[in-house]
Amino acid sequence: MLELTGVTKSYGERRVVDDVSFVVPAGSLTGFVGANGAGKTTTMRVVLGIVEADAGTVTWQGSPVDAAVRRRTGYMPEERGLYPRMQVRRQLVHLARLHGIDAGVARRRADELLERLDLGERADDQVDALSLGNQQRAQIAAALVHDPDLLLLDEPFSGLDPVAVDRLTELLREIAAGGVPVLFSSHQLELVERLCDRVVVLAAGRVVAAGEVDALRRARTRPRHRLVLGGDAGWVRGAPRVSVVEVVGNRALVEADDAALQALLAQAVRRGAVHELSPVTPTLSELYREVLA
Amino acid sequence: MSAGDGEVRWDDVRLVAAREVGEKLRSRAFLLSTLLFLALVAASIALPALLYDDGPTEYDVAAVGPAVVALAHALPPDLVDVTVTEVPDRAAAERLLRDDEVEAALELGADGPVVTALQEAPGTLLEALGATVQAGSLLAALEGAGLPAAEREQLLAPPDVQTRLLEASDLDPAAVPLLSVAFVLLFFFVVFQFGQSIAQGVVQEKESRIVELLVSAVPVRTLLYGKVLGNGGLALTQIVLLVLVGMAGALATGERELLSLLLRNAGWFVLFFALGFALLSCLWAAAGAMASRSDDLQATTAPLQVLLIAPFFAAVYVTSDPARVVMSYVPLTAPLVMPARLLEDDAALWEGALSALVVLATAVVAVRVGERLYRASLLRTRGRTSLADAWSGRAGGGS
Repeated sequence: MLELTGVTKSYGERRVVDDVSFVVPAGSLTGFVGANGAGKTTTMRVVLGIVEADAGTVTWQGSPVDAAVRRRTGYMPEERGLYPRMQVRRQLVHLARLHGIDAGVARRRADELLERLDLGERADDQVDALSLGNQQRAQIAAALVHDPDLLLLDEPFSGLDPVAVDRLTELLREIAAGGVPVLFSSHQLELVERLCDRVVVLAAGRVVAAGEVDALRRARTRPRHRLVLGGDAGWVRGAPRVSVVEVVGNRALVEADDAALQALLAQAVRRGAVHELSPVTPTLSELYREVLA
Repeated sequence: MSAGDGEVRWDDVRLVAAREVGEKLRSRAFLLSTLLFLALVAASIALPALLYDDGPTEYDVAAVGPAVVALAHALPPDLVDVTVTEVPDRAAAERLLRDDEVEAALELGADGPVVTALQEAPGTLLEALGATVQAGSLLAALEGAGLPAAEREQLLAPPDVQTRLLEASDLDPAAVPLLSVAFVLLFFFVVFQFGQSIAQGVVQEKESRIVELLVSAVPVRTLLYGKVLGNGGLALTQIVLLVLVGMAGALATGERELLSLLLRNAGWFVLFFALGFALLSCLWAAAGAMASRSDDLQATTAPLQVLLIAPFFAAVYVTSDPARVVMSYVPLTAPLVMPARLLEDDAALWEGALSALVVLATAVVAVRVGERLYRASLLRTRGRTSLADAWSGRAGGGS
């Protein structure tokens, strides 16, 4: 488990990361979301030691993250970086060996990953001869080639085509299932929702929500329901102890506790036909907008 | 704990160094420039031997009339080796000249021989001709004065000059200073080439952002040492190859004295090269780290270029003695001047050793300084890092 406690970083007067605490448990895919400039990249760089925090601690399995842990960490930086003039396979082998992997194992891992990421035929090309999408795949391979114990990916999905997104999704699920904590940042909330059990939401350097997606949903104070009537739903606005999110024609979206909801249903039945009363599960995007509001 | 820390593992340093070497050896530009350099050195040894041939100068000469043919044949054979073509008149001779069939045309005018050539007067031919004509007219004058033939011959016979050499050697006296300059030039070019290459390599790692991946895997110092050792190894190999080519050239052209001179001094040269390179290399790496784009390199490496160029000119132009002795102990000029003094037998072995120790001590300090600047600037990607900021390690931009 990776644990951040009270991590804070300022550049001059600007506090970029403010008292950030969260955990990335083993075997979980944790989505790291937040607007541009929310502090996601700096937080990851603190974990990797590229940026030194002003305060706070980062621990791995209970001990401070040190060079040995970083050596076993896989990282995909936001600003992609590989040697432009070096062949892809040799580059991957070099990086794996810098992470302490034997030459033979490194070569095998590099070939496996290149095959899985559909880069097998490009293995002997220089990186700058690859298309952007393929460079992205090579970058992913560079993060994974040493079989890391911890994985930090900064926007790994940006710039990938749908097929590559599926490949990477599959790969990340597999890696997480193997017990590796995976933290990845993304702006694509639908993707995060589909892929992650947990999210950490950052806004202006602070954690505004963190935990399992389901728990975040449940934590909402009042559940939402959709009511579909035979006639116009305008009267719902006047119902007691019910707050209306929106009314469109014969449909209404309401927030109410159980008792108020039962009273609302009884009134609706008295007034005419009721086609539907169903709980509405908020999407991650909705939750996200809500916690940021 | 930041990524700059952590123990340096020599296995990792070797990996980084091996990558530097491997990529260089794969680079066609690098191989070509190395070959060119070697060819240049080989040529500079072989060409003088070929050009400054002591044998007679060869001429193709057109002679107008049989008398002139006889004169041409009478030219001293140790000076010129002429191939004579007889022609009927001046016009025919000029045709041959313009057709490049001959290099000179010879005829007898009213006041003596006339030599015609296209653009350049054939120096050695004129010399030989002058001597022959002079001897010929003197002979005629003596004969006219009634001197017996035997006495005439004796008067004209060349005096038998005996030569004594106090320090006999087949070494050209110009070879020693030439060799000193050659060493200085090699030092300058190779250090410059590999210093630039280190700085460029560092800024490329920054520019391509791979440096983030690298420092999250290994300590910053590992990257620095690997880069410097890899490039230093290549530079030293290049120097040794150049010296070997020089020795092979000396051997092939039969310059045994030159060869033994090289053998006696190559060790010093290589030693001082290694020390001088160590002195500057980490500073080159720091200059690379202080740039954030290749465009900045010009500015960040400028101080280093001065540190290299100023000693270079000093070593070439300052030849008077008190200054030169001092320079052979000043850290930046010592690697250039001390090998030359040793070569010229101007310095004792202990002087060489002392100077080497001075350079070594300075190199240790320079490596520390370079390391500090490198670590402080490597991860700053926004703009150029000033020397003051890099030294104090003040936090820069980035988010």
